[in-house]
Amino acid sequence: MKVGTVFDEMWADGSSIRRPYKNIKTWLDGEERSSLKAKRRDANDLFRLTGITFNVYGSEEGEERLIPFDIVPRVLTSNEWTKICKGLEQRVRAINAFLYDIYHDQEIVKAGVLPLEMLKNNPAFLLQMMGVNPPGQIYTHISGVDIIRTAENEFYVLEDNVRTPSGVSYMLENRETMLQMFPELFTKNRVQPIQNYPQELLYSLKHTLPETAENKPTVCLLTPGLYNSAYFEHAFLADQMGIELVQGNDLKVVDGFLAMRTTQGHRKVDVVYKRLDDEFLDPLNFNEKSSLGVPGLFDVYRKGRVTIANAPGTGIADDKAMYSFMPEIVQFYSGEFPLLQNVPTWRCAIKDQLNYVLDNIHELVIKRVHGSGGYGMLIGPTATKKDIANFRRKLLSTPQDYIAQPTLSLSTVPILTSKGFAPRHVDLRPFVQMSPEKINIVPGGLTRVAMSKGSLVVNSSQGGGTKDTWVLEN
Amino acid sequence: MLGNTANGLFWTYRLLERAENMSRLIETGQRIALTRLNSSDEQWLYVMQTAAVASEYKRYYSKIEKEAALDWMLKHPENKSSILSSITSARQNAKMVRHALTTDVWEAINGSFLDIQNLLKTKIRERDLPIVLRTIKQSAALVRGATYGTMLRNEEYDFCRLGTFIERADNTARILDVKYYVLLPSAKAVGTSIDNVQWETILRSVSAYGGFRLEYGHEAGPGDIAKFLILDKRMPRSLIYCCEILKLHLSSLCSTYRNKPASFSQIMQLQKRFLTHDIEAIFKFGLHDFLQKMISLFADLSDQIEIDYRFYE
Amino acid sequence: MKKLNVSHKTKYSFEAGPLSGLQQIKKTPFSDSCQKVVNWSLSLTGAKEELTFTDSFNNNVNLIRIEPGIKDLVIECEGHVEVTDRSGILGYETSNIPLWVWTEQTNLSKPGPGIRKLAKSLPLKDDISDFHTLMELINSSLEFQKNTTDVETTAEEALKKGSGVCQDFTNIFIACCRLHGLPARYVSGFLLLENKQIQEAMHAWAEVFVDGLGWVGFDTANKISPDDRYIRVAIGRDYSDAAPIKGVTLGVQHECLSVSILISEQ
Repeated sequence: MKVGTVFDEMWADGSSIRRPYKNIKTWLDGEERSSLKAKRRDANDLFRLTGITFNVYGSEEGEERLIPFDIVPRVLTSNEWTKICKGLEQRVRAINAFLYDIYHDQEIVKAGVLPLEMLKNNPAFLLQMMGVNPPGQIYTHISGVDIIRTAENEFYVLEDNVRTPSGVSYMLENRETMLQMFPELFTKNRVQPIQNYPQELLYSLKHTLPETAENKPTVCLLTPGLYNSAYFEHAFLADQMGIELVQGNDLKVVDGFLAMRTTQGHRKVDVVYKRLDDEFLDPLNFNEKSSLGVPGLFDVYRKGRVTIANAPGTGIADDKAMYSFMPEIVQFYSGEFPLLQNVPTWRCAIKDQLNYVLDNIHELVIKRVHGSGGYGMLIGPTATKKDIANFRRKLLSTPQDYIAQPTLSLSTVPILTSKGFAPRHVDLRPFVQMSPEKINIVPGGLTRVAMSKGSLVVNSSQGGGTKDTWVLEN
Repeated sequence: MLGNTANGLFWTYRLLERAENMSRLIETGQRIALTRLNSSDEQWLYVMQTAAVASEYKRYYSKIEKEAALDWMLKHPENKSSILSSITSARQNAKMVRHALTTDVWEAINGSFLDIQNLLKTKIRERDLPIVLRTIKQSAALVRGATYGTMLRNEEYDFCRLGTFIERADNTARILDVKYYVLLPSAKAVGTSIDNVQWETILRSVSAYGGFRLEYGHEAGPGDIAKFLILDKRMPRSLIYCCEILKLHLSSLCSTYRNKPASFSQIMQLQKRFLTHDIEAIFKFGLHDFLQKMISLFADLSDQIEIDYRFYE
Repeated sequence: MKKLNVSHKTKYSFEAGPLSGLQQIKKTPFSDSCQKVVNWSLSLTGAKEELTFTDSFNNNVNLIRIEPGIKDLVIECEGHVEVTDRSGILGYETSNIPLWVWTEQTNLSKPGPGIRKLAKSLPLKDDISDFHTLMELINSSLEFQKNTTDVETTAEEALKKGSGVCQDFTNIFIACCRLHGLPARYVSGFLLLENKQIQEAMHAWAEVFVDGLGWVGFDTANKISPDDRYIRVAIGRDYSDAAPIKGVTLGVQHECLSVSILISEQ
């Protein structure tokens, strides 16, 4: 891994254009700058009108923001993509096997591959899941695996999201917007389609049914409600899949099954696509103060009468400390070397590693083990003295809450700024769907881009934007 | 279909209708203030009474003043029936049932909300009023058009329409009730005491000023106004018209679900017992009592719809 | 071996009936190396059963829904259980729960200075007599007294107070064992008393995993290891896992107006 040099996906070494971006370059050269800017404004207006907004946590109730959309697509070749896919499939299968093992015999602990300390006192480990056999033995129906690129042939996994990965609606809407604004682009470039994602998702959900499901299974999407940051996505996906969008108070345990309240009384539900944190899922079994969940839902699940996707307890596989074991985990369950690399990670819970982190804090990125969304992280090279002092204190008082990674030079792709085109750092979140029959990966995924110069934070909650992501046909 | 979805659709359309009615009332008040020499700020009290927001207003303001009244009806945060409150909640409800609406309808509602929210961000001066009111009316028309043109005629549509017409019936009955005394036959006999401005207020509040003149001529009296707004099936805001539409959609739900719940018999009873007589019989019954009865029957009907279609647990 | 009859009746009375309520009932014993459940029945008045299942600890759970507006809720259990006296030694068992889970302190067992001091005074490992000494020690520091603690009282709090009921004795015992790194767990169950006494609450004791023996029971409140008068009903890390009734609309003890438990020998 090269630290310090930046790989630009359009310009590579700075002089010659990389092949996959040739058509993009020609297109951009042929367009008036002002008309592109106008198109971008149109796109934003369209997003606002359509309601593609997200609610910001910690801000005033109901405050809605647009995620900045950039019109320059991010392009991957079919070869690059095939390689990534193989790695993703291997990784996601391993994670699913890992989850089964953790909630059954914990062979990986017995084998000495994973230290027991990783499970002890870990709030993401759900004791209630012990011995549960989820329908089809699937835990991770949907995974969002964050990938970064650092050079022509270097891809790293930065994070596995297997609780309730979000962002797929932006992927779909970005493509929709590009199709509407620049239809000719898609006649000149052979871009692999992504529009069937919702149908594929529904397929996955309908193929991991509980045994009690009948011929025409009922699937619903459980949302925490309007004020959740991803509510738009919940409504969007429910609409696209043609399933009901439900909240906790729509569901109830009726005659021993999960049922939703329709205008004509309660109707049995077979599959719940859960977009609610485990903690809030069922006040009888988890956080009793939750008013968002469904009392008794987990009991019905334990009895094998409903599928929950993703399964409760998957969080144990995607916290940032567990991430550092992913190479061993992949190897343990697949018997193969990982195809996708991990970013080197220091676990601050370990004394030596903590010392290294404290000594090199200026060069590292420090993340919370159980954090997400880019909240509460420190980027050493750009942090202020005060931030660093602050994080030192945190590291010393609760080292087990933190991990550190080198500050990677994420690849860049140009965006249209008010002063013209300029490179900005990007990552990639492909979405992997899993059912007992197959793994399906929608070509591309969501490209997130840091909108300000030099920034490495791509999270939408921190002002990051998105791009349409193209995987070219061979 | 979820009970909650039916609930969301019903209230989206109820609240949109409420916002539109409020804007029509404000327009009426404004029109009368501008065209009548002897009008005073007291005029706005009548307007607010008609909109059933006057008593709340008095809790916050000691005097009836035009500016305060306008602010109260347009956007005061403490007024749950202000235009901004109604349209905000309508949009919240729509967002909740986004998947049950067509894209056209959703975008019409969301776009209207964004426009109106934007217009009402700053203090509204008198000269801004026409553009604000026009935008609201146009938005309402846009949503109505998108609904009419793109929604499938299924249960979703039925619940949207039920919401619209329950609110409308209630609104029409209230408008009449606030001024019922100027419509009594005895009032005409007294003659001089009746200022035509009161009739005009009523008619304009339901966008029926021109229509009434056209149909009933210049000789028409206050009794005719009552007849027009209660019993004329051609008038899309009359009680009987609302009743017909409610009946239509409740009966459509009956055939969709193959049952006849209590709300259906309630609407049948309501029409049979109260809207099959002529206007004289209504006067005999007592116009005020009649209107009060109607208001409470429509409220009961609304409650029964909630129960029959499991809006809540 | 003893053949025990159990009859267990819990009755709630409400002034205004609850709107709705869902409760998990853990009152049905399971067969194991010390006991055989010959028959068991649970009957409900004012509620209906939604589901029966076994939880992650293998406890039998009945999920019941209280009927809206009812005045009385009655949960009645009856059954026969054959119990063998094995001096409290349950032995090894298959379980969903790995041993390490039982070494973790919980909110109720979390030790403070009092428990630490108590635990440190003994070399708990695999000598059974040390556990008996521990029971003696706890017993001498705690007076059995009702209504001085409740279900949310921690082990440390009860020790400081110097009084409590069987679940407090048990929590303290468990906390001490865990401090020594030993797997220890909470057991809720029934106990045969002399003279057909009517009991107002279920009993509780602890189990420790001892190398070479497997799980061994210790009833700290009575300073003995369970024998053939003890029926195991539910286990957990502490009271909250094994609570006989856990509900979303009702608290755990406060609405409970009357419990009557009668254990008799056949």
